[in-house]
Amino acid sequence: MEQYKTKYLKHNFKRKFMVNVTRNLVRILFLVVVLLLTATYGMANVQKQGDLWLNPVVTEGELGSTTWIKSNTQATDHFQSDIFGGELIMGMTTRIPIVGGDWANAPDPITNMKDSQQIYQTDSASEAHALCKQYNLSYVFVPLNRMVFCGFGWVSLNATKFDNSDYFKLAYSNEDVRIYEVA
Amino acid sequence: MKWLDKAKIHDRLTSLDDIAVLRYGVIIVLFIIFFSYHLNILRGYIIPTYGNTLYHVGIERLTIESGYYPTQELSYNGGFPNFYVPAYRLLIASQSLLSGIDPMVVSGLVTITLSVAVFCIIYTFTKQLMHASAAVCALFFLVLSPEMTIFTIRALPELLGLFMLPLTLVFILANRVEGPFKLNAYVALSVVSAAVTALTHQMTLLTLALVLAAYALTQVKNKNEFLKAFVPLIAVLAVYALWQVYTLHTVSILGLSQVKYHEGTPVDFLASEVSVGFFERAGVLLLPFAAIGLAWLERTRTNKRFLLYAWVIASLLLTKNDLLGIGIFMDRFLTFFVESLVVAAGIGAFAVLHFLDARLLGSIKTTPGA
Repeated sequence: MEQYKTKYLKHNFKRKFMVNVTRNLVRILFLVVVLLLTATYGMANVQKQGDLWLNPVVTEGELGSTTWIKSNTQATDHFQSDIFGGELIMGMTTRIPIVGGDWANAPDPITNMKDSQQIYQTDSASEAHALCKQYNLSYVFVPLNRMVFCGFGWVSLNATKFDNSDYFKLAYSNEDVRIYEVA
Repeated sequence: MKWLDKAKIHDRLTSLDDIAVLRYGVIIVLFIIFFSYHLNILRGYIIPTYGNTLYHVGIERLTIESGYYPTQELSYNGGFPNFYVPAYRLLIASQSLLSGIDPMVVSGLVTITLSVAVFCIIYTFTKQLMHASAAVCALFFLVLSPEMTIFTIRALPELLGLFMLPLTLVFILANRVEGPFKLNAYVALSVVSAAVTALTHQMTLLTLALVLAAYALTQVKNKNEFLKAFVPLIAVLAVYALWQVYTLHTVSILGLSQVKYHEGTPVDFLASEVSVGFFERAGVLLLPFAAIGLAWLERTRTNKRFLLYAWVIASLLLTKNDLLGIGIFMDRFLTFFVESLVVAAGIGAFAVLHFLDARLLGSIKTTPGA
């Protein structure tokens, strides 16, 4: 009798063990398939959308210029820039740009955006200069290797007018950016 | 130390069942996928700049340099009061001061840390609400959600908000005291958490306030549960009102440019030139699994299920606030809606797995010769 009982218990244990192993193998297989799909298709979709937000936008030379800004300009100086350039200047130097940052409480941010874009796009150095004076801007930040975004889409800028020494004086330059002092 | 008791750890590890081991395995794999993508934040010469990230760095830098939180803005040619709530910026500034690392770099490091905190709080909230396996499923949807990925790689106060909102709700969930309302540690923690949320991010505080109000409304017949939501609701509103009166000298938000010019993009099912696409941002699988999850949750009949319902409904209302004629920050509220659906979808996937496990794996033991 005891022999049969032991044999039965052994058989039952073996059966339970096999059931558990089979169940867990199915579970693991299922999870491996799901995780592989996650890592391939799912993450490809996440990367496609997420990578756009990892873009630094501003160039390495623009970042480099902030060291010069910090050392050679006054804390109270204001800058003509686009939104990304303005936030770079703000973030690295605490200088104040015409656009960029939080517009929640700004008195008239839309006009700032329009005028900032006009300073970049106009062919007239005198018009750009007058607008800079209107906003009490001491410097103009001119990115050379990217378009600018002042709030109404990405646009090209006209950089040559800033070479008119009657209105602007080149204060700093590198391969990615020029900074002009407003005369 | 008590928690380093080797015998206890050994007992805990050896008493783990097969399912728990599987759960931990999946969590580790999901975490590696999630974390490795978030490390990209530090891969460049500068942190990602989309969405005003460097503007916040500017305020943090000025706080460090001057020793006080600026009362005047640096934005849009400056010269007007800075009313942006300070908690996130003070967090970065303090870490930068303590470590001596530049606040731009600290912003990137804190973004990675907070994204991990969001990963953990989604797990904790779902586990408190339903089950550890449902929580693992929720992490799966979190990792696969483009919207949650986008808002956990951006160095913004909203990221802290994505952690603070569920944290406040976790304190309400964990407060299982029945009978008359008692001012216990969970109530205190929910009040502190709500107050910090109020000072973290304006959109988060609006979402939290509406979630708490909606949950309180569902509990009007149960004074204890009602007060568990109502007390932090008062805290979140009072703290923010005080902040706005201090900075702007008014509680009205009607004069703000964001309100006047209706900043924000509408959310539709599919993306277009003028709208953000829900399915592109949330992931195709999220909605069906969330629907199953909410239906499954209804079977539990516990009061706490209303907390998730309140979160889903409140954040949906805010996401579609353009339909109510408001039209502000619809795309930003979408993130909180997606976050609530991640939890619901986790419960949905758990329900499906539970069903499959019972029906398919349950049949293995009856298979002859098994």
